[in-house]
Amino acid sequence: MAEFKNLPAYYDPFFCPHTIIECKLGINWVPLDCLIDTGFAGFLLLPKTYQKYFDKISGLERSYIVGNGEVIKLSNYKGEIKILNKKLTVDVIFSRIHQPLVGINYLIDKHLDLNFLYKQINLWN
Amino acid sequence: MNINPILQAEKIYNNIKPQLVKRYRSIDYVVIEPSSGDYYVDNFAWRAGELAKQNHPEAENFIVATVGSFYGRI
Repeated sequence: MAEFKNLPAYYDPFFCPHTIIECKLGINWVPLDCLIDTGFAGFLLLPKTYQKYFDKISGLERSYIVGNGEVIKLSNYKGEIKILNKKLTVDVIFSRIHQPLVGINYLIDKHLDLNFLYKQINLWN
Repeated sequence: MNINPILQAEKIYNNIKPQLVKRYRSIDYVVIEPSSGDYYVDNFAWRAGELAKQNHPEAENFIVATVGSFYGRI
């Protein structure tokens, strides 16, 4: 049976689930507090203020439908993160948001239990 | 005539989607080179993009979609 390891996860005061991901910003590894957003079809979505630390993948872009129905084009970047001390190169996009988000592509190989009644959250890798 | 690469890629995507959904997960990425119609699939867009660029070093635009949807959602 596969052994699962706990990843950091918590609810904020508004019951929004969060996790902490170590992300390479320039030469430093920085823990990023990320909202877990199952409505985001991607891996990591960061505020534009972080863009300077990442390399754009020239010519690679995708169209996204945002909350108000508008279609926007966003360029693809790649970035390094660490999950349980294991490095991984992942897809990163940037937008005018205030909070880093992780989406479905981050969650897809993990267990996520959200219990709002008992205010419990568990995330396993 | 300068064809919008996104519209071209969407047309290609709609043609290939029936085959893609049989082989790949809906969240796997498809990178499409619109001029040739070539496409590359990987669970990371950056990796599919690198393969696309290796095969099409002269191309300027590569359009990303997922197997399940041409448009992403935020």
